[in-house]
Amino acid sequence: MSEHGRSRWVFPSWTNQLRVVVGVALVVVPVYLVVLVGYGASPRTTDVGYAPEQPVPYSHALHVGQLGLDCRYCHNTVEVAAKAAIPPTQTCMNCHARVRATSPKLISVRESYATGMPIPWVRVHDLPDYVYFDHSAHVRRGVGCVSCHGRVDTMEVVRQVEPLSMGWCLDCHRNPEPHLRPPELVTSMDWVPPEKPEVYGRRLREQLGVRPSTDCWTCHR
Amino acid sequence: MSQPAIWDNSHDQPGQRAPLVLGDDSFAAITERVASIAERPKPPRWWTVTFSISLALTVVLLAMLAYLFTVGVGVWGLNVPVAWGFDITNFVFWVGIGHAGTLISAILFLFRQKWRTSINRFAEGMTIFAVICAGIFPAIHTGRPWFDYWLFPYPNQMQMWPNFRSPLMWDVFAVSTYFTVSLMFWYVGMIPDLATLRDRAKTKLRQIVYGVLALGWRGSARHWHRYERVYLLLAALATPLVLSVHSVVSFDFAVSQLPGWHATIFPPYFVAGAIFSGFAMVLTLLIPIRKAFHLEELVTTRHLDNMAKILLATSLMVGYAYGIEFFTAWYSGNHFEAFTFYNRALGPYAWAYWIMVFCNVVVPQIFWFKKARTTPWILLVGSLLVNVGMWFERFVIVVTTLSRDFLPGNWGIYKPTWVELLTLAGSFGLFLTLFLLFLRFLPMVAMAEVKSVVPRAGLERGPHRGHGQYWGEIPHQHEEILGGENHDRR
Amino acid sequence: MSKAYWRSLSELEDSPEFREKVAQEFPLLAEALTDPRTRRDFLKLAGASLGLLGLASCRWPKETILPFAGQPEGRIPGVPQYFATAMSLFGNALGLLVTSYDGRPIKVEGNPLHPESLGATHLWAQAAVLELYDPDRSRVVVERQAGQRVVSSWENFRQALASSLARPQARGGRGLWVLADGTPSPTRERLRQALSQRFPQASWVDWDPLLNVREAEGLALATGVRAAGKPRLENAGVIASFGADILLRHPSAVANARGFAQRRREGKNRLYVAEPLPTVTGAAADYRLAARPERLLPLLLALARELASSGLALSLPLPAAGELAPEEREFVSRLARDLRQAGREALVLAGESLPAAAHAMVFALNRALGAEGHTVLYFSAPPVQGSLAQLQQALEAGEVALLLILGGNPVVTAPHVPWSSLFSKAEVVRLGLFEDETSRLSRWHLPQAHFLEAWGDLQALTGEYSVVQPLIAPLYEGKTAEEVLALVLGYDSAGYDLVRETFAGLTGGVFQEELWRQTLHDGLWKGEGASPLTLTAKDARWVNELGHAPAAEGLTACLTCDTKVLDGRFANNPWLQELPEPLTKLTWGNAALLAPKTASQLGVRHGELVRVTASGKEVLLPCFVLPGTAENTVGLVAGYGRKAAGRVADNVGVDVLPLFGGSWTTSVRLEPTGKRGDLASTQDQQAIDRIGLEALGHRVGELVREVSASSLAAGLEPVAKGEELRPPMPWKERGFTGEYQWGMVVDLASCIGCGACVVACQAENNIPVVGKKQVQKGRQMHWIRVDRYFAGKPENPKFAFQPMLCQHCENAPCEQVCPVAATVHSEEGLNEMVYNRCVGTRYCSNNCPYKVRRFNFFNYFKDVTPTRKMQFNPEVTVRGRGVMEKCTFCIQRIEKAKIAAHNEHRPLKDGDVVPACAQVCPTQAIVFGNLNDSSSRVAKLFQDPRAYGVLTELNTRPRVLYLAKVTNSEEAS
Repeated sequence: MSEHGRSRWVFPSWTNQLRVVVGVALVVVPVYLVVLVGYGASPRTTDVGYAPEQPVPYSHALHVGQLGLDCRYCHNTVEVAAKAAIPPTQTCMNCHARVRATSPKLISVRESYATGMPIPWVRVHDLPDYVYFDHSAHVRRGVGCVSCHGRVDTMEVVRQVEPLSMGWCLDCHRNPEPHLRPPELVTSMDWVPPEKPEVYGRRLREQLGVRPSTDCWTCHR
Repeated sequence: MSQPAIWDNSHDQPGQRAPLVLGDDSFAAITERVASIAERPKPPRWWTVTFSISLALTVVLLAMLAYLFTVGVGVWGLNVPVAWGFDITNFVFWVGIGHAGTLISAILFLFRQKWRTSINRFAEGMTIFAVICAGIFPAIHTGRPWFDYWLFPYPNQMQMWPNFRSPLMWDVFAVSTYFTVSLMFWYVGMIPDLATLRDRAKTKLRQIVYGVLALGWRGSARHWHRYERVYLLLAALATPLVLSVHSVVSFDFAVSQLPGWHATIFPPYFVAGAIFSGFAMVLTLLIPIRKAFHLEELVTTRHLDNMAKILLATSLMVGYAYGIEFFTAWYSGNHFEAFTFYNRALGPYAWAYWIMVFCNVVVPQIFWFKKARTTPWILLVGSLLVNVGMWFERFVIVVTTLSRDFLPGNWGIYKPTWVELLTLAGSFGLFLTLFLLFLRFLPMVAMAEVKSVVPRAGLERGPHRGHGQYWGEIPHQHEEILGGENHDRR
Repeated sequence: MSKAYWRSLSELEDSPEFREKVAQEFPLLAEALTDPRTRRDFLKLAGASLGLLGLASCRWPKETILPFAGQPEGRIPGVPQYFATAMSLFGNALGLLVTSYDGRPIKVEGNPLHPESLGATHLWAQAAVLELYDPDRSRVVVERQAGQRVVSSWENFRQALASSLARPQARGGRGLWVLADGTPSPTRERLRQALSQRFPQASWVDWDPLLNVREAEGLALATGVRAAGKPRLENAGVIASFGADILLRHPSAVANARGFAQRRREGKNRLYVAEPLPTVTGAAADYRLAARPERLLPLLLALARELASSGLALSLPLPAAGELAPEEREFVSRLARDLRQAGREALVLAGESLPAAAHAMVFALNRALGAEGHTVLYFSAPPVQGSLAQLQQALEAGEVALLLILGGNPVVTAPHVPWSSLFSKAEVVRLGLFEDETSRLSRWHLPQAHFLEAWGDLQALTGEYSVVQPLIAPLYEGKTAEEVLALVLGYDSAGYDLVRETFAGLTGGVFQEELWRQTLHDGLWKGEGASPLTLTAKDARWVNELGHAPAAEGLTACLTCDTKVLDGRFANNPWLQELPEPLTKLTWGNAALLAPKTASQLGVRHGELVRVTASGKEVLLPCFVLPGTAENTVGLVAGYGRKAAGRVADNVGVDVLPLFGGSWTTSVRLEPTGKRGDLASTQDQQAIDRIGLEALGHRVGELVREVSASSLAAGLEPVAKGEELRPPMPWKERGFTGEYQWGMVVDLASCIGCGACVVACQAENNIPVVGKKQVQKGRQMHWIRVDRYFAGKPENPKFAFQPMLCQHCENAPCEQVCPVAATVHSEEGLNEMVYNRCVGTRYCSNNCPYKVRRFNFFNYFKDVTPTRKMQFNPEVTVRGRGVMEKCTFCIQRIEKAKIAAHNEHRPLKDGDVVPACAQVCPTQAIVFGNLNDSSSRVAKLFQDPRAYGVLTELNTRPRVLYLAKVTNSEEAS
């Protein structure tokens, strides 16, 4: 058997090109995977921007942005209860009994009002069932609607703008100052702090006695 | 089985070293003896039979796991207070088995115990497979293994880290490190032999497979030089692990505060026990295989004798631990502690305790007698019993402690279910399956290393021979050996 | 998200359909996908590919929110409301406050204003809410013709009723019989009178095995008035009970327990109990005599004679009491002496199993001692008409045309009556919650409305009027007994109107809306109330009936109703089936209770299957060797072995009633079978061996500490709390910065071990029921368990109860060992368990010295029925398989109270947070609160000299402290 033959048993010469490929792959593939998973699997990618079609083409941009309805006119329980109630059809009809009383867009609303069957609104901001979030606790302490729901007054279709991930919650619970405002202004969409948010926030924090807890049982039970 | 006296190299005569390899100790002959096993086209009948049995058991294991994952941990006999049973018992048992390999290859290597060469490959293989079996149990004992990754520290949107204070956490690292290093050690040590198999290969497939595995080993001086270096380094790296792994495993218990678990003696006690069980398992496997493959000339009576001695020594250590536990319980004056051991010896699980004592302390005492140490079948029975005893040791530690702790109001009894029994059997199936495959396709004795200790390996070169000291010209010697031998083949 | 709309990523990378979908789901991504150029966009795309995978698979399904079309007044979604109502048991009313969550009743609490509740409830009230949602409840009207079960309707029944009423109607009601369950409902009483006016010849029988009829009869004997005693234990200094379980199975048990505990805590009362089988009352006794049932009467008589001879003005011709055993003599003489000393603070009570004459004697004693009016008040007993015997005769004579059975389950609870043959002689209409044994023999079965879903009313023994108001519309087409009576009377009015009519009647003819609303709100209306009766003793002829006590040879079987399912009416309630019986800790079934000595004489092992035979009948059931049982006595527990109760109760345990033939005791034979019985006990499931018992003996004293009343009076040295044992730590120890620091105190002097806390906790925290097999494996899930210990001689042991729950250790062993940090400590000193982080290594449970953690070995809610789901507390996660859980101090209540307080910008007050166990506890043994507030009750109790921690030597630093048990026997001091 010749040397050549023998060396082929060791490793054929064409395998030498492979070395480069393997070398590069060893470096690139892990990096790519990490980035892909890290970015793709994060709520920022999976949840942010979720904007399902609603049974009624209700425009927050119109009602809040242009007409200037206060959030609490419809979501009236937000200051007293954990859930910021989705308004009953009654609330819509308060106005729409007269306004646009015949608009085809409002058919399902009128139907619901007539039949008493609820309108199947689609949930946009959906926390896991093991998270017990309380609107009143936040709103009463001057956390603005905008902080979590974004500029709803500009949304034709309501869209999730924040990841609503645990880390995102903790960021604010650990350092609430930048997100605080006078409780009476929580629903204002375009409020800007009169001075540096940290400074202003710190003062508010003392006034309102805001002591956000980072204990697990604050949200998980 | 009895052998002609000439086969007994277990004597110790000052001035005259007993040979570590008997019979025809020519390098070619050694190669032939070992390599031919991995090369024969058809396996022997006994191999086929045992393999199919263990494969069947492996399937049973998989079935049991599937059942566990779909239905829940409830299929086991666990309860509160006894929330750990067979799962953790098996884990500790298998990790223990997984100790002999690295001990033989690393520590005995550093201590220049040349006799290790004919058994280290074999023992390392066993180690790898045992650790694989061990790794299964912590992974599945939650019944929801798809959450296991939560035990690893990785950045996540919850901004959560695992709890680094938890011994289970340490286990994850200890066991995985140990496994990695043992695997490296095993594989690196095997490279020259893989090259030999490659060179002797008849079929294309074998050429390529062994060729790839051999990583292009050509036995040049440089190769040998680097090989020796790596081997030495890995040995140094592995040695502390031998001690660390089982110490960490023992922390699972020692760090908790239950009477019977919370003891400072646990780390050394567990390590001794691990070596004990490891060597027992090596013997249990080695004796039949040595016979089946006619390796008596490589794995000689002397080897058995030495291992029996280690068995005896470690048995005494374990026995001492059993004793001292009672002493501390009594001496501490803590009535909870005292009751726990009282309960072990006389309580509902006393039978398990006494099986443990008999197998681990009483039985090995026969190894004071040379006859017992050098008679394979006695050794086999003895080592088998030790395996049983060591499993029960872990069972006693885990279950009796939990079943009766502080408040009598919550005492309970644990009865394993058929699922647990079959899972245990299945883990043996997996172990044997892997092991038999190893016997079938890989060199089960480290040929290259054995060659370095046969009398012929440079008799004229003074007393110091063998692994770890090939500086200068010895590599050429080896180069020659390999080359020459390859020429012989052709 | 629907998986249907695309098949694979590659396939739709560029399809317009895909773009459009993405535009919907991810407007941001839409453009990134249309021109993926910049690196950022590449990442986006990469992310999107996974994100979309997520859409198809990971993203939980699209959820819809369904608001009301028109919101009901004052209803806020997700905010619970509370309604006052009442429950009837033992012929008395218990005022309740029920929590309704989005229109579903989910939790029952006591009504603080109600004299029988005082804010607490018994365990049956706790379990009632589960009964409401029982999937086995009957849902339809059923007619049985010739054994054929035909689903019918109320309309059909109405017609059938009309025709079958025709005959009685013609004959002034003769042949119309009503068998009612003695519910003290004014409306029912009103309708009964209406019935007797309409059908003068009609007959009415009230029958309920739990009614203490003999007491009423006894008082009738003594005074001519059917009255019932209302004990006032808060005034009683020396209490003597002859077989009366006043703390658990008694019309006023809740109030009794409260009163007893109040004085017990200060060591200001002494309890004597003579009883054949251990009860929680006996367990609380300072002097307990395990007496065979037939010895109770002689003992009572001997006591009377002793008192008389000691000069008590008891002008009665007392017959001889016969020979007393030494221990009996000692018991009686000591008791007599104490009663004399106590004077008007004395109280004597007799159990329902004693004959009427005995109750007459008890009345005489109480009056002579001056107790009447102070420690016991007498009110007119709830109206009980007729007797089963009369009905039986009438049926046999064929004089019954139409029999109306309103509730109850006589076929099971009165097996001595040959119902199956008798029912064929009349048209039987049965109204019941379940289509049970009685219904199956009846012609008509009518679904009954549960008291939580229908209008009704109740009157407490002491006269308070409560409206039973529904919390939910009837789940099925059920009606109440009153509504059915109205049907018979021909005016088909709803329960609501019936009750309002009654109310109008009670409030003087005209209906007062204001008063009505007030009554609904408060849950009761005192009205003029029933003032205590002033009774006058009649001639004492009844005394002669006391004389001849039957001689006691051989084995006497002693009947008792179960402490959980009672006479079997709650048998189909899984919470109660799985609740450990206070003394035996048995779940899911009953056993033959034997004294250790008797068992060894009979050669019976604990847990062995035994055959008990009496008067030709025999039953096979497991034997339970229970220390403290009277010798040569077999305790047999009624309420089990149901055949047609539902999927939970059927064939659980053994029906022992047939042995007794209507009496409370009978002499029996008992032989071992050698087979193993099928017991499921939550403690000592495996009989403990000798060394175990020895260790137990050593430990009990340490775990359950005791102080004597005398030393308490003298002033105690504080018991070691364990701080002094705390070793100095080499590191800086963790401090707690929380504004509130929660702690709990459990008073072992008050705890009577009834188990109400266990059920309350189960109801509040969605704790699963695991079933008999799992309990036998030791997998019960109760977050709070009541450890029961015996001490002293097995023939006459001392009993100790210790509620054991998560101790929320400041230095918690469970926290160190959890690899994923699923259990950690909060700033407020709570040991937090996070279900959604738990992987289930169970290491925490192993390392918990109290073993109070519970593991979900299976998914116990896998096949939970839709109705059952309605009871779940939405504020608490329903745990899945493989997750560890444990007491949370009712964190949902803590958080709720905190948020409420902070929203009002005020700090929490003491008592704002009350965990379920503390709220339900009849004796107020559990106190919870904020340790930082030095004025809070719990903070004060932490400093109480009786306070101590369990296993503090382990440096766990528990946040739960126990108050040492108080005993008031002379030996103890």
